[in-house]
Amino acid sequence: MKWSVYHIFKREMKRLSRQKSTRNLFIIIPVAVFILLGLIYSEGALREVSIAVYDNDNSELSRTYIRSLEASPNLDVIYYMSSEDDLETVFVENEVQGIFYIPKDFYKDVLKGIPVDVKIYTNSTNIVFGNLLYRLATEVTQLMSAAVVVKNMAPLGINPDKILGTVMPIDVNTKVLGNPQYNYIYYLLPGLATVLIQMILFFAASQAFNNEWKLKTYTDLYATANGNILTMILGKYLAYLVFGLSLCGFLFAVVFPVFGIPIYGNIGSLLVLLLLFLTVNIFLGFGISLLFKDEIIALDIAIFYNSPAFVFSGFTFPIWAMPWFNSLYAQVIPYTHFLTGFLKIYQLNTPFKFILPEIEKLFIFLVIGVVIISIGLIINRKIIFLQPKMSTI
Amino acid sequence: MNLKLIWILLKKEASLVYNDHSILLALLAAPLLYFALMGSTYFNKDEEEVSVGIVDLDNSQSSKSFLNKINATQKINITHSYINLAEAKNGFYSFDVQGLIHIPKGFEEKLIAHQSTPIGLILNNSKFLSSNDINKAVNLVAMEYAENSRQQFFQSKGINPSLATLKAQPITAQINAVYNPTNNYGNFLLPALFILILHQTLLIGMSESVAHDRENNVLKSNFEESNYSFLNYILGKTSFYLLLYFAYMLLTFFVVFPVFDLPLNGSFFTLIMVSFLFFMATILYGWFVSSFFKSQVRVMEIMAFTSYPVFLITGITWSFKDMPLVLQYVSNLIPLKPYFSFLKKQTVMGVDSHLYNSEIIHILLLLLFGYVAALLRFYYLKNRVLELKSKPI
Repeated sequence: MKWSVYHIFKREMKRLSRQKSTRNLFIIIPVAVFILLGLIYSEGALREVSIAVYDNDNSELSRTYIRSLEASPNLDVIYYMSSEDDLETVFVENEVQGIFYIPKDFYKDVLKGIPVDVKIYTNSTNIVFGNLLYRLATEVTQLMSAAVVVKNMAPLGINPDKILGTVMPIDVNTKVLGNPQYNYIYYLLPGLATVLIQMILFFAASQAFNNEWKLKTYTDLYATANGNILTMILGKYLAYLVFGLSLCGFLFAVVFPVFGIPIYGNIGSLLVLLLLFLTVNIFLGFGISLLFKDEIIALDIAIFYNSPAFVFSGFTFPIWAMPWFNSLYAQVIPYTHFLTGFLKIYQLNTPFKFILPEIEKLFIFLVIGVVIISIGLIINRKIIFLQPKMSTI
Repeated sequence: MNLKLIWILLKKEASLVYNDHSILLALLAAPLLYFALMGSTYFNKDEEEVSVGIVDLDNSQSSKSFLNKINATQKINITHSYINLAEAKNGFYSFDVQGLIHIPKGFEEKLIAHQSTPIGLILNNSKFLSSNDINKAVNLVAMEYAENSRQQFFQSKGINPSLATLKAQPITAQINAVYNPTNNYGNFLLPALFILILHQTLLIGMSESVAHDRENNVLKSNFEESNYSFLNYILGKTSFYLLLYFAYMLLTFFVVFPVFDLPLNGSFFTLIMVSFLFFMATILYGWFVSSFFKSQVRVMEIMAFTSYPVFLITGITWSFKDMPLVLQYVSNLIPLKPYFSFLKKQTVMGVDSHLYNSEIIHILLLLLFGYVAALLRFYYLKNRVLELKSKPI
């Protein structure tokens, strides 16, 4: 059996390397898509959000406020509105993401002790900008407000040691772990690329056996494996694993360094998780391939099952916020669990024991894969065992 | 143009779709299932009750009150209370909590003494949405404390309570999230997601059909039946898809959008007309690209991987101007790009028509581009067919 596995492995490697499908799935798609995704987010973080300002006060204080907006490294004041400008036109024609409106009598009211509102309109059709502007607008305005409060307090008499504690009694020291740079390429590319690896491997594996039936090469496979199905599966598995690992190698050893994406965690732990993840997808794909004789139907199922994996993974929208059915569906996709483990290692550098729950869940998927393979073997036993046996006789 | 020939080809296409399970699945089952499955994922539109852990080393009335205020905010749910930071770290690494609030000993004492009271906020930034929400909530509560503290100071100096309240926060940022008042994820993503589902299922289904024609030598008979006229052929081949996706488009705007409470602010007539042009352009592009494939399986494999790149290159989730220039050019060649922009301006923002005229012109230009590309490809294939036909057997 030992050498038979090797023969099947060798045969499968040759078979795969001759197929156009392999060239598409393992070379063209990953190279094109990974690089494209990297280029889309190559800027990393949003640095200069375009904004417009309408100064209806034109006072010393309003100009100071505008200067603080201009000084913010994340804001870019590209348009100064006049009274004739209309809000929606400025948003669309000047392509700004936010409009800061400083009201009339801004300075006078501040001097009189009448609170003033700086109105900020954010174009929240894209919440990436909406959230960023919310944070930046709050920061700039609170800072100026605090400065005015301090100025008002001074003549009333305050112990200098207590100014900070009175103006801002709670000082929130924020420590951001896992992508502290708020870099979108660190955030999205690894997630999107790994979901594509799942899809690629699953699609390829879902054609592992039915393609042999279609091309009438199954008898040869059967003969090479000496009629042992376990040998066939193991040999093929090793070949797909080599292809899967090559994809991972390309991602982590080429794409990550090219786009400057760091891996914070332990490479060994990552490798264990990846090996299991690849194995699960190969086995699930084999199961589909053995269950459905028609290659196209198998591929349809693979596409339907895998396409929403990223949406359901909870990466961009949390699973706990999904309706119950959707959160249940999220659990039956291996990527959801892989991603959690992957983020723990890749972003947070957690010790291995913290990914054990995800490892356990992926093992359950492995068992499910074996069960589907077994069902496929039972249902299609005639073409798997009987017909090739007859042909070899 | 011969309507009779077009009708014959249209019927032939409908029959092909009906008899090919894979195409039928892509065109009839997939859009509805994905609408239900992926759309409903964002049904709640925003996350609530993000799990947060606390390490309250002060364990005082003040620290409890502060934490209660945070817990009372809509998006935060304090789910775990840890004895010390080491225990909290375990919870953080296990993803039990998305953020940690650490209140050091002496919190109450410093607060009473009007000293700056530092607290720690540790965020898991591997997922931006939750991290942003925790950060926002904690800082809002800290700001509330700042206002109270300032107010107390002014009152202590003999200023009456109502004036003291006014003096406590002289300048505030009144942030209005325009076009998406709650800045929620669902309103941001769902309109584009529904269109993407239609776009991708259309591309996959139609490209399978075109590749099927080439794989099974039906292309030649289709050309013959169209009298080798491009208009007869293309209208006969693609009208079925245009009619089907016109129906899906009506379903999307008249049923799906209202069910998900998505805005439809502009004129329905314009929306329908521009959407029709968009689907025409997509169909011509789809036919052109898929005419290069000779295998239904290969084209499925490739098309299944176009979803993420095509979606992300439009800049819908990122800043378009921050993408490399070459990608901006490529993006402008894809009908989805101007259509998303039109959809945003017309349905979500509800701006005047002159502000989205450029997008309509852009779609028309791409329609022309797609037409010319398909026409040239048709003539190339026609010549190939005629050459083969004229060769002696």
